[in-house]
Amino acid sequence: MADAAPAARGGFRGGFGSRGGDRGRGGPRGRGRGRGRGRGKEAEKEWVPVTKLGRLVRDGKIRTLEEIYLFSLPIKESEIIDFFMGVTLKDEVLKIMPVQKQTRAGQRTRFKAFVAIGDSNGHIGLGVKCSKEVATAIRGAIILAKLSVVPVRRGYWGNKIGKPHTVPCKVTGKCGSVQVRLIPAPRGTGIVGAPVPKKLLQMAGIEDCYTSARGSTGTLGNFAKATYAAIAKTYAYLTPDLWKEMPLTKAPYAQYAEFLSKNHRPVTQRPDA
Amino acid sequence: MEPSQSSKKLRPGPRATPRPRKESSSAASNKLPVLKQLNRYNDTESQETECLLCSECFSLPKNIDTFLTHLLSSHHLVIADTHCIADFKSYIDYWRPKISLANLNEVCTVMHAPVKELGTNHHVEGEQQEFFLLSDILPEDCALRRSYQQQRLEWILQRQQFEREDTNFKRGCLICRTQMSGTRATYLQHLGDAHNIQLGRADNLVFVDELIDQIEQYLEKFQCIYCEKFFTDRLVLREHMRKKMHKRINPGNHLFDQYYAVNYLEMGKNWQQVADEKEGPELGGYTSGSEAADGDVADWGDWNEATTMTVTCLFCETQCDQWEIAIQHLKQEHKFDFHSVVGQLDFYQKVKLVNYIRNQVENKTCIVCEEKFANGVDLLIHMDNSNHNKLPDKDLWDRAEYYFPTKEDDGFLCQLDDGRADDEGTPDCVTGEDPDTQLQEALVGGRLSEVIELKAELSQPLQLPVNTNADMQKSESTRVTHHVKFQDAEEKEK
Repeated sequence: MADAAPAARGGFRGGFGSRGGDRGRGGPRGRGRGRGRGRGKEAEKEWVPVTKLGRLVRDGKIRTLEEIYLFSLPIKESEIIDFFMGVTLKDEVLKIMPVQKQTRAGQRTRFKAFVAIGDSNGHIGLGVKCSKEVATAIRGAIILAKLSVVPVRRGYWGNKIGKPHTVPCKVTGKCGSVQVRLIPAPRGTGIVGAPVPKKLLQMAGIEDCYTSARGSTGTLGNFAKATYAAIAKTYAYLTPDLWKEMPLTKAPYAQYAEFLSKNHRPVTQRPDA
Repeated sequence: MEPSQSSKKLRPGPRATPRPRKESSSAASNKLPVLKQLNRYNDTESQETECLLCSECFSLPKNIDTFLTHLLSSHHLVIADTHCIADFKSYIDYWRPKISLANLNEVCTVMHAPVKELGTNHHVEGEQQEFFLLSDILPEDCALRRSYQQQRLEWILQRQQFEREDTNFKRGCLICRTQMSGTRATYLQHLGDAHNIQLGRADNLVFVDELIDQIEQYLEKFQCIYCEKFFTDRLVLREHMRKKMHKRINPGNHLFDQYYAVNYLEMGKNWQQVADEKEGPELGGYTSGSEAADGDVADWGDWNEATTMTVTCLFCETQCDQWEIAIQHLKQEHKFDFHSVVGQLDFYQKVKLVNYIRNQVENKTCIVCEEKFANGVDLLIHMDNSNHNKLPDKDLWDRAEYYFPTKEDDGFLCQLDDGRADDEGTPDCVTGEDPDTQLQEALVGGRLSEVIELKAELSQPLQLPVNTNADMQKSESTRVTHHVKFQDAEEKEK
């Protein structure tokens, strides 16, 4: 009898494990919703890929991110980027600002987050997201930034000794009225430019660069986007050392078509993260 | 009995107030705690402020209630929605010169309300008292309130940015007493992971130091954070909080509203009301880019800031907001026409020249004759007199050391117009005319040697025939099918 009572009580509450689970589900929603119910456990949630590319990545058929860039395949799942570059990616919040929009019920103010992400070794991404809460906006912007990660080509200014340190050639990026030009610089120059492009170039892994900006550089959003566009162009420009013809290889979808047809069940609609 | 104003406390009846919230009643409405807590702006100390209509002083915003009661009893003036005014003191300072006993009728809306006898709820028959309501019905007032709200929100976000980036935060953990250092986010993370105290995501919080102080106070008094009951000692308290899952902040406790950024978002709304807001369709019809539910439009044009980088003059200390203004200044004040001096120099030469000039000016040396002077003023006088505001000898400045910026974060270098904005297709855009570079020889006419060199490096047979126009076209058209080798692969091969 004495044993039954405690057992019943234990059964009632479901014991330690499920109480942790209860807490994990975050019963009455408290302050700071989305506060990561059962915070530590969140990180280990299984990733179920919904795109073909995600399925290939998950099952290890694609070994590096560069193989995806080689075929210019659009990346729609941020977990793919996490898979290849999880730890090395560092994100930085460039700005949180309130924005207002006019609705029938009056003015609505929201927080807008600008986030840049990069591994300081050849990859850079930019994201923007608007939301009622700061943390939600930042999280959404980080996901969008991950989806926009592009490779950065670095080159030499003069002698080809050591590692590449600057942009391989002059590149221009444009967004809105802002035009940003990146110009190769000798080793040791550092990044010569305004704070915003400087931060982006550092996160991309470019050590030395001159910048030249035109237009209304006060619109820092456009300024950042233009810099990002310029950096992305480094791999779009065909320089003489890339003239060599390479043998064509099959795209991953074609190469692993059988594997995909067996293992991948396309999902019609994905619940937004 | 003669109803006299001094003996009776005059209060407008419930019908008179246009909004359900009452300014003067206190405990019943739980909006007032919101008012008190959120009425912080710039964390300035409460200051003595004169009343709007008389010269009595009150300490605002601390004694806001006494002030409001005074306004009501002495002047029959009611300020609507005081919890919507972010900066109460400035609000009063703004209105004081504009309001006087004379023009109360114009500025405020006038209400008539029955009078209550002191201490009773009876309305005195036939008595009507005039009350003046200062509210945001007046567009000026509305704009004023909005601007205070906006300013406060920006101040909050600035503070939050600081707290997000500051790595010098040191504090002992509240529970396990380990010394934590780093950012506030790591501290909160530790509280959450190790002790399961969920205060919310660090990104949503502001004034984290004070929040933790508050929590600490609760713990020291052996009071539960959530239900506010008292316990005998620390261990009992911790057991209670663990069992009842009270290791978090009570959402109904408005004392903690001020620590969450979402409460500052909309004027007069706390987080519950913001959450309940329905996202209606946007007015104004078509917007640039598509708007989803939360407005996640990639509209990059929103973020505007006044000045990104100031440009310092080459010769003196004057700072200019824009590069064009600096050029003008050079022309007017120092007779140095930058564009004509620079003329046909290419980008790298311009950079070297600017760095050379900055170097010389810092050493108080003339840029042309290299004469040294005692200070900057003498130097300027000399340069004006001997007309040395021109392009110096090439071998003075065309040196490799001047590739590196003399001045840290030199705004002048960031807008050296290249002149040839669309020159990305021309051969010499790949590199400058520096004799060091390998590719110098690889320019048009010398490509053969370069290609052979590259071929030797890559040590693979090269089928690509050398540089003819037809071939360049072919490489253009077949570019899409060529696969670009990436940096790492190239490195590995070498």
